[in-house]
Amino acid sequence: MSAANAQSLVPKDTPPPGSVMLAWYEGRTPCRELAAELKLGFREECAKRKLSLIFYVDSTSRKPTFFRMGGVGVRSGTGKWSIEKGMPSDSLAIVYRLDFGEAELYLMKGFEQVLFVLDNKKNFLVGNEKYSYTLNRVTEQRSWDKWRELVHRGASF
Amino acid sequence: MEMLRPVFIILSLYVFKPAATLPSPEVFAGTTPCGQLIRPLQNIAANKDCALVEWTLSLQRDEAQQPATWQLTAYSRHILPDNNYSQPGIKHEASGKWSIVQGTGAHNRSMIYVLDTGRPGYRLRFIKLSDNLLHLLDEKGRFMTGDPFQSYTLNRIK
Repeated sequence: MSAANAQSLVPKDTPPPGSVMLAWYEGRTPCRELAAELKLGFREECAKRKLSLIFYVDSTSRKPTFFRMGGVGVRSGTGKWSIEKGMPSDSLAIVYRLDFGEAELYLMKGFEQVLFVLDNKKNFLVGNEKYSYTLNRVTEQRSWDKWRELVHRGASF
Repeated sequence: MEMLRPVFIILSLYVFKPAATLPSPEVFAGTTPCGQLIRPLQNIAANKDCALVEWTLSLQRDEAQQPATWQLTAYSRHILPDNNYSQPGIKHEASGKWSIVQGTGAHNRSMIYVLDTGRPGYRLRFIKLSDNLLHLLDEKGRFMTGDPFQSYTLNRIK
């Protein structure tokens, strides 16, 4: 297990015209189930995906406009997103729907700080010993060295 | 002899009762950051360099399916000068009792798994997202936020 490639995905970000950034999330997830949801090919040697996800809202109305996602192969890029309510296990849950055109992805909002990846029936995806289907909010841009220094001393984000 | 028949029946119910079997434990695993909240449980000093903790948490119920005991086996790792994680890591084991309570406030639609650590005032609370997913809550009941590399979610593996 090497940390050498664990560099933070700093978004090369220019908000779409008329939009502002709402939130930025990152996380490492397993490959298999996510590949199925996004209708991507899956290779057994794929251990994890390094995901980066930015949500934009309309600069005036604050309604959802676009998202930008990285780490999802040919699905990486920009699409539209919307907010829905309810999933089978919780009718009041807040669910984000990401539209990739040929695929879609659902995420459940756990407060503002954490998102959980769902399947296309809005059930939780289950990870493994190493990686979970959880994305964590990045509240400020930090260099990899700064991340490492803070993480190792038990800082919370 | 006929008069003793009820006594024999009662004795047979208690003395010859088949041995109760415990249900299989629910086993959750995951790799989390080394946040200060979990360091006492993992026996990691507050100022120690630590990159991640690998958890295997077994939740045992009693014969009546009620929460009983938990067992943790964990490995904590730090990053070596060559930028790899330390191997095999520092092993730590712990155990205690656990319970389930109804969530309150923002979690009033969820069940909370509470791990009693045996240390006064120090309990860990996990929100049950599904039968296969637990997520650690902080002292204020908020979802613990991980970092770009690890999250505070445990996944059921057995």
